[in-house]
Amino acid sequence: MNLFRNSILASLIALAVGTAFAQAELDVWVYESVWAADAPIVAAAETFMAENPDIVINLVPTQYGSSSYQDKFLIAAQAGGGPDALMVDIAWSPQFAAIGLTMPLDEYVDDASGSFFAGPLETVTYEGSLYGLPFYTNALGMFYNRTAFEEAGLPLPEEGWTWEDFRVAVDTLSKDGMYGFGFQGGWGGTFEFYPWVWQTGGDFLTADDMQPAFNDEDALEAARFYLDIVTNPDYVPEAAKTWKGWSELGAAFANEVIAMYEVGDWGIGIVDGMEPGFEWGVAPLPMNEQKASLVGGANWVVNANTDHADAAYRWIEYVTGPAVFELMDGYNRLAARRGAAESQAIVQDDPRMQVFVASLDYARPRPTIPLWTSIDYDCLQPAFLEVILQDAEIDAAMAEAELCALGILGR
Amino acid sequence: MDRFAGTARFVRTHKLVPMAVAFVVCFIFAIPFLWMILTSIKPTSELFSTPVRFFPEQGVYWRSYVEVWNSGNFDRYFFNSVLVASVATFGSVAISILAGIGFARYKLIGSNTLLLGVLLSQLFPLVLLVPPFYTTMRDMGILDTHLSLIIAYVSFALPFSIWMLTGYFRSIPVELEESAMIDGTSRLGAYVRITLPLAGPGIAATLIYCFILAWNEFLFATTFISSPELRTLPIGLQAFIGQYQTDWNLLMAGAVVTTLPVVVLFVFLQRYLVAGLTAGAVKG
Amino acid sequence: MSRPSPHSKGAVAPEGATALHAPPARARRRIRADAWMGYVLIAPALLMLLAVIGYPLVKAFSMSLHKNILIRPDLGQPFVGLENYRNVLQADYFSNAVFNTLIWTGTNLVAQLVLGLAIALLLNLDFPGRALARGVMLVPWITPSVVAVLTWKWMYDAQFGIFNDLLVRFGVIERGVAWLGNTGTAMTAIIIESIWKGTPFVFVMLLAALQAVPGELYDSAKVDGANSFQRLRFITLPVIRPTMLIAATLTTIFTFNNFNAIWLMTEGGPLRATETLTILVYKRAFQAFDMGEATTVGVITFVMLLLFVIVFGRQYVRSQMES
Repeated sequence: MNLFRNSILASLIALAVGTAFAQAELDVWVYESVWAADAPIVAAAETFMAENPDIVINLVPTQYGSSSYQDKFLIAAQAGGGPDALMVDIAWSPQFAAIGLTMPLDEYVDDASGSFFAGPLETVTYEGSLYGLPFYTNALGMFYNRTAFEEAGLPLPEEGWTWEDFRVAVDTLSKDGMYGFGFQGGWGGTFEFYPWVWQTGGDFLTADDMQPAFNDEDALEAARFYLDIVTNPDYVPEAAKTWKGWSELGAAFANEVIAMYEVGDWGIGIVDGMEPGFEWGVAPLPMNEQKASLVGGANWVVNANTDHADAAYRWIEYVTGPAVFELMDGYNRLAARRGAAESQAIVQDDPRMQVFVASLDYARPRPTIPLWTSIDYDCLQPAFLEVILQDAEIDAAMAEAELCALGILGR
Repeated sequence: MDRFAGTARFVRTHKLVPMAVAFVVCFIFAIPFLWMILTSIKPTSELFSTPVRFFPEQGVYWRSYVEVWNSGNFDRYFFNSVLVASVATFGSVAISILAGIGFARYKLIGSNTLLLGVLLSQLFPLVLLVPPFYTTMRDMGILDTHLSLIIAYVSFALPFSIWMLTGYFRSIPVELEESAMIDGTSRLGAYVRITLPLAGPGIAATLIYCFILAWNEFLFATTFISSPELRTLPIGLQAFIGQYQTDWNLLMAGAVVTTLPVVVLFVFLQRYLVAGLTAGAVKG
Repeated sequence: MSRPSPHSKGAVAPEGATALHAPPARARRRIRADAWMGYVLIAPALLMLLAVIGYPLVKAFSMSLHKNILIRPDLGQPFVGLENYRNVLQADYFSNAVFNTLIWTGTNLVAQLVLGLAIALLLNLDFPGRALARGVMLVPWITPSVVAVLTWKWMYDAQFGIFNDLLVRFGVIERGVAWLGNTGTAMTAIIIESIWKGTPFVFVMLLAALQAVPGELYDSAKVDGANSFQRLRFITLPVIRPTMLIAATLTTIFTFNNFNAIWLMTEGGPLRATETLTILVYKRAFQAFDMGEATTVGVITFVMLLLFVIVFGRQYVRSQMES
């Protein structure tokens, strides 16, 4: 009899407890490559759920494709649906914010600048409001074939090496079937081009983000230098015209087709995986007036359509909080949170990562206005491709790109 | 039976000529598929070499297939594709049989216009149909289910299927049904017992077309489906095209797995396909 | 009473040859009496098409008449009449896309018809292994388009691709060419892949049509002394003309709107060299976020194809009457 009454009591208590804890079930999109049955993010989600029993995290691996992830979110969110929270590339954050698909977090966060690096933080800030939290970050460095450098008698690239050092290296190493430099020519090489402009002291837009500045004298100097190198058929392989991804560059590098290329920390895994038969290293980008590099990475954002704003915020706060250091170690990536350099094991252990971390000090993101991707695709890339594929004159092409950008900004 | 009498004599005594030419033509058309297979049996280290190696150097590397089937979850995706494609095919064929009989056996006002209209859906860029489709599926509450894909696939397979079967049914003489009805069968019975069996080849052709359409479809599958366990094969293939790198040997192994079953299905139904398109295409 | 098979090769069923004409008077009267049954039978198909595809089409037409730039929600979605159409028609990227689309579709169409017919004629001859040959010829059709395109992209690879490798080995070129990376070669390269993919479908339709050509026509021509080329020109071609028109229509429709074959290869580049209307639609929608312009281009595409289909349809009806 006692047993019976106790079990009834137990059930009633469980029922009461259950209804008191109305659970918020969150759909959370992550990149397919980030997820696996035993991936660090899964463990992180489980820890979070243990600490927050009223929230259930449902991780949904979503494919990156050539732009599938972004398109999929756009379609879903526009229709009023989509996940509750998701990670997004830093390039898309301003656009999603502008369209109104992501939720501003001002009511939850006062000042995030003390917690995150400035560059990544800029990419989640739109019109003064915070629209997400930075997750991981990376900067561009230069992979170089150390064996080739040593055999050619060249000094190894290191902090403070200049454009001239770079040009000499490219020239010297372009022989015997190897090319000095490789780049994503399929896109015209605009991605790798950003730091070169900043290194001259120039910029792509004026400080108020209202006018194009990439045709000003210092930026133009960068364009001339860079394009002179990449249009030289001895320095860069013909195949580079089709390269649009990192695996192609990695394969070319690992197979000694190119001696150097610009890439971020994700390249380490790609090249290591190809088991190159030579010594290689990572150097910071060469400098001109100043040092500069390009920031990349991903952010966490909350879908404006979500029914569980508070819960969603708590998740992204957790996953970008102090727990992120150990999480990112699991992926060989650098967290965008301040203190990453000191707290992450991979930084302590891998000298290559240390170069990338050091580059973060002077790395900037691409312009974060929503119209920038249109200017990049429709003005800059065609200008570069015309120079590369059709021998267009650099100054003329850049002037045309400036007009094009003015047109887009004017809208 | 030879069609060209003059050539026929030549051919009869020189069957070698068409055979040789056919072999060359087929080989050329098969090259990409052969290359797909050759790539799938090489390890990653042999994919990037100059000059290109045709055959794997260190023996056939089956691991890609194992990996694709197990950790690549292709067994799950395979099952999903079979499910979705089969149901969609059944649905399309059933609905288009009804429509085909309707158009073929009944004088309907503006049937030619309607037949033309049926084709209209194919004229619009698919990319733009995705957002409204998504909204519709969402409103129906069937997002992230196989049902949403089935409905979409049936809609896209209908136009061609209706054309095919209408033409095919029109080529079957009405007298056959009429004589059955004189003997006491109902109209419906006549259709089921006389017309449908005769239309077997045409139905087989439609069946293959619908199946291939559903089996290979990618855009809607990637947009409607979120849960990984519901993915179909084409989506599974996408996974090998990563953000940073493409695993060519895994991709090709997955591609072979995706293509082979349909090849088998096709070889089985092959004679019906050709015979089926005969009357349907010419007469319809 | 024995049941004549509709596929007996010697017979030409009278209903078949006049499929789009009214059946004989006696049958017509009987059919009209229960025409309602016909409407019932076609209802599921029409309803499904209307609901699932009709709604999006109408929505797209309506969207093309409004301004709708997603990243400018401050502009709202006002009705702007034909302003989108004016902007699009005047844009040079539009005339470029139309030109590319016509080249893309036209070349594919001609090549697939010619090749498809040639192969159909070839595989209609009697020789051992014919069934296997026919089976092999259909593999490109069966291959999923994503797989086909990526395989070809891999074969075209400027560094590690098999095509460049063979051309260099045979001394045709010195170094690997970036087929997909040069404005002069990209369109040709993607067209070749598309021809490979689409010819089997045309081949099958024409093969079926060839098999239905009645043997007596050839026999009597032979008696009259016609050689094989004359038989081809005056008997075969006219009889299979309706099928060729159907194949041409379907090929045109499939090719015109083909997105995968171009996107996965070049994304419309380099420098818009392979940008067709359907690629343009995607870019306006998902890169420029201008839904108004994207749907406008979509509608224009629709109208272009519609005109084409109508012209083909008329040709087809005429050819049916003649044969």
